[in-house]
Amino acid sequence: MSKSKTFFKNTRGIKVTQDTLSTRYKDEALAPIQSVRIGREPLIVGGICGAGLILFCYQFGDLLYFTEKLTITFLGILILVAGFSIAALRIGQYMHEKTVFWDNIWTVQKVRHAIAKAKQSVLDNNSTVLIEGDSGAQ
Amino acid sequence: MLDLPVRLFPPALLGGLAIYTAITMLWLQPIVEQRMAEKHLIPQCQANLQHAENTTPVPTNPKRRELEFAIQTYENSPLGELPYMRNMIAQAKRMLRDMQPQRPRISHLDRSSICGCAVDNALDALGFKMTLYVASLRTHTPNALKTIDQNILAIAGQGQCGALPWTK
Repeated sequence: MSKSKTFFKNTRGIKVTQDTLSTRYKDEALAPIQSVRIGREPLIVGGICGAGLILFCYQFGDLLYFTEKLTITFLGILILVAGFSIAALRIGQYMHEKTVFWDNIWTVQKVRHAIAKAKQSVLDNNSTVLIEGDSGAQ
Repeated sequence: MLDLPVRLFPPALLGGLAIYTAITMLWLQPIVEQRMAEKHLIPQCQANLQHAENTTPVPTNPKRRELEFAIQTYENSPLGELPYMRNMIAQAKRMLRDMQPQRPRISHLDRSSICGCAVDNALDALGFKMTLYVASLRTHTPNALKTIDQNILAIAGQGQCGALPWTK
């Protein structure tokens, strides 16, 4: 039995091998995955709230104390950064799409690329087997 | 067909707007209302009440005029020369001084409390319009907010927050 190649692994239990995507609580077969999407809802929610708070400080600055302006602006920036940083990995299978996990955008991007590489490597292996099989028949 | 509204208004967008509205109502609007009251509305209301106090005419007292006329009459008549009458006239003059009409005034403390209460009532009456003003970041200013100074004066004048002596 050949050892499965690992394309991504981190300390939080997310692992992508040639044929499975594992999270801390679940393993998912890569074969039925038809699409991989990054959910950016936190960016929209954080963008509205963060930009709203920062613009509030700008527009109502005449009514606010300096410390209040500083606090609200800092909070707005924090919400914007958090909204930008958090993302979901969604996989589309036949007729439905589901969220696999939420994590920071950089991890989610890496897992997405790892899944693409894993699927590509499976395709490459299959074609190699086919060519070898063909040459054997001759 | 059902896909179009979801594409136009994705749940994340609606959720974001709902959270922003909640933040506005629970946190930002009270700050704006409090600061507007402290910095603009209450001082303006106090200045208006002060102006009303200063420009209200001194009330006339018909009894005082009658007394003044009686004193003059007795002083000019031979009766006024009598010692008893002279005492009476002196006493009447003291009464006349006490009856000097006073301009109606309210203390600074009363003026502050009346204005604070009137501003509170006027801002409460704005309701959701104020939320819209804060949430829209001053891009939409409701008409009721533009005329809030007059509204505050009307509330103060109606005696809802304490009677004004010159409106009795």
